[in-house]
Amino acid sequence: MNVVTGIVLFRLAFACAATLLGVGAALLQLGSTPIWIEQPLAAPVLPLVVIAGWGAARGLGEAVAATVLAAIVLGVASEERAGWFLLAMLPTAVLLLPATALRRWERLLLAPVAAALGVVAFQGLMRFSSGLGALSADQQNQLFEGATWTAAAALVLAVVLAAGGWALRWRPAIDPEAPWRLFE
Amino acid sequence: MAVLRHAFWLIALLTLAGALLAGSRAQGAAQFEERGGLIVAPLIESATNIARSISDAAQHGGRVQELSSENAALRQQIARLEGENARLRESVITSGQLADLRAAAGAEDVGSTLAAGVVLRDPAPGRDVIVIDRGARDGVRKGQAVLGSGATLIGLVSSVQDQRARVRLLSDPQSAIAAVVQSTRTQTALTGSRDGLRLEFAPIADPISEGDLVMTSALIGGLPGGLLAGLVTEVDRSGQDLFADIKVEPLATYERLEHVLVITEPSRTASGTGTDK
Repeated sequence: MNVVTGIVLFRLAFACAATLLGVGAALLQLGSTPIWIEQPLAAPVLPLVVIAGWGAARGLGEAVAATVLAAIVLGVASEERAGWFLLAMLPTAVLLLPATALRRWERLLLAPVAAALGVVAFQGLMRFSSGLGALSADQQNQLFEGATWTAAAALVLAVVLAAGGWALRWRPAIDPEAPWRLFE
Repeated sequence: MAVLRHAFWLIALLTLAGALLAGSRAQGAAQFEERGGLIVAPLIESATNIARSISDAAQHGGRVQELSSENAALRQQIARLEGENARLRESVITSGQLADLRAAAGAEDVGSTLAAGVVLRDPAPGRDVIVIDRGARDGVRKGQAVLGSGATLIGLVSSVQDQRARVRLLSDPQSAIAAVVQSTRTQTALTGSRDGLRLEFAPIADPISEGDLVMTSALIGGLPGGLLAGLVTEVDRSGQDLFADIKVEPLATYERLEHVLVITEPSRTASGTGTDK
């Protein structure tokens, strides 16, 4: 197996993992956050954790399928259209644009920033789509809480991914006769 | 190169979002959503059960079972007493009125009910909608009243699938039902808004005060009359309008709904309607 094939397969495996995580995050968002946190605005937006954390640590490309499927899961469970959910998740992806020019550790710091601002944009767009107006003072506090939770979770995910991704990175075997290996 | 790749993915996502929004009006979209909902619902249910177990374990340590059943029993008792209390007061007030109006507002018998579990809450911030695990095959129909703890009205069935139904809670901005203030008999509309429940069209001269109970009205349409809906918490008559600005607090806790009752067939003595705005 040559280097290019190895890298492609490796990226594909990570993209699959991101997709599973994204769908899981959407299901968890629907099933769990209402139990743990009473105020919807104060709850972390878990799909954004995946987009921000994964996108910052490993690039947006691997998290695209996760973004789309998470939006569809939320959309079929909601009266709101899946397109609105996807649109509301886009600002987080846009905020990751500077990651391409940053060093590895700087990218990790970008994850919580993108997640926190992404939550504000997400809630803002979703409220706009539902025809709701400005937030009250209480709701602003709740939103701040939700953004903080999301940012913290995104940072943790980004750090775990950066560490795990580095340890598991694909390297071509030293012995050309040997099959390719993850650990070497 | 990396920037271009990132930009490509952003444009792809934007295009897809646009396509999903445009396609949502297509003929097969509703069917697709219904099928998707059927696939997703059991998965969400599993996630809910896992989260509930973790939450219980974290909150109560080793006494989960004991405390949960005690709590449920106490909640039920409180709810029953609240409902009984309100019904008694209601029957005293209505005793002096015409027999048909008393029957409509009394709500001694709400009719046939169907218990349903709450599967999920709508994740969109502007929607106060829940999904229940009963649908058309169980006799659920659009417009039926849904009760929470203490037989208080929490919302109306807004759409029905074969095995699931959506319930628009009273606090949803698109919700509006006919209501009556118990003490003054003022006929009003109870509507949802982003700040909670409000009473619309209550004349400024009517002596409505904080603590008054708000109930469903049977004067219009198909809702049973006399169902508890909320409690007046704030009355503002300072404006120049003909109507007072009245805030109402729901009697049921909407955030923690787990089981509800759907009135599948209201008692014959009551009639009324609730509509979406």
